[in-house]
Amino acid sequence: MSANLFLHIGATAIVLPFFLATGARTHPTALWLGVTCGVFMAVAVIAFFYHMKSALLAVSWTVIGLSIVIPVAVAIMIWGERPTTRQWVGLGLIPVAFVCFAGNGKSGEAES
Amino acid sequence: LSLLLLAIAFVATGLTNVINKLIVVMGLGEYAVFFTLTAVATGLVVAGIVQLSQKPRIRRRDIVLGLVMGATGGLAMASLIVALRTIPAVTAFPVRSCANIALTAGVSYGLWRERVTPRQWLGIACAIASVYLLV
Repeated sequence: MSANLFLHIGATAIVLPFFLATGARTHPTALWLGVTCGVFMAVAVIAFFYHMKSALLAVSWTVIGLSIVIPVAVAIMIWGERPTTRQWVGLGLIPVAFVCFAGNGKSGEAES
Repeated sequence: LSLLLLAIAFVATGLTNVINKLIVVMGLGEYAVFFTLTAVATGLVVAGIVQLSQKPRIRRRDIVLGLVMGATGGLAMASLIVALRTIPAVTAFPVRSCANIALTAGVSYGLWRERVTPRQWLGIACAIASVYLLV
C-alpha cells in the first residue's frame, strides 16, 4: 500500500513545478473541487489496490476503464451533450462487457 | 468483498472524471493545473493517513512504482482537463479509456503472463469496441 503514498508524491512532484511555472494562479471553487476530486481519487486507488490482491489486472483495469460511463451519462443527462447513434451503440456494449467479466472470479491466474 | 472494492473504485473513478469535466463546465479551465495540484495533494494527505494507520513497511519497488505511476497520472489528469476545454466529454473520456484498456490488457498478458479466459477476452474486446464507437 506504500505504493499509493508514493503515487501521490510522484503526482504532486510533477504537477507542483508546472503550477509554479504557470503563474501559481488559484481559485477557491477550483480548490474545493480539487479536494473533493482528490478524496475520490484516493478512495478509488486504495479500493483498487486492495481489490488487486485477488484479481487480474487486465480484467479489473478494464472494468475501471468502463467507469467512463458515469461522466458520459452525466454529460448527456445534465450538460445536454447529444451522442450519435454510433455512440449509443458503443454505450450499449458497456453492459455486455460487464456481463463477460462477471462471475469468472480469479479464473485466470498469473503463471509466474 | 473484492467485487465491492472494485465497484467502489469504479464509482469513485467515474465521479473523479465528472469533477474533471465540471471544472471546465464551470469556466474554471484556466485553473486546471491548480485543480490538479489540489487533487493530488489531497490524495497525498489521505494516502499518508492510511500509510500511518498501518505498519509502515516501505519497499523500494513500491517507491519506484508509485513515483512513476503518480508522475504519469498527474500529467494525464492535467492533459485531460486541458483537452476537455475543446473536446466533448462523450469523446475525450472514451478515447483515454481505450488506450488504457488496450495497453493494460496487452502489458498484463505479455509481461506478467496473466491468463485471460476467452470470455474475459470477449469482454475486453467489447470494451475496446465500445470506446471506439463512442469516439
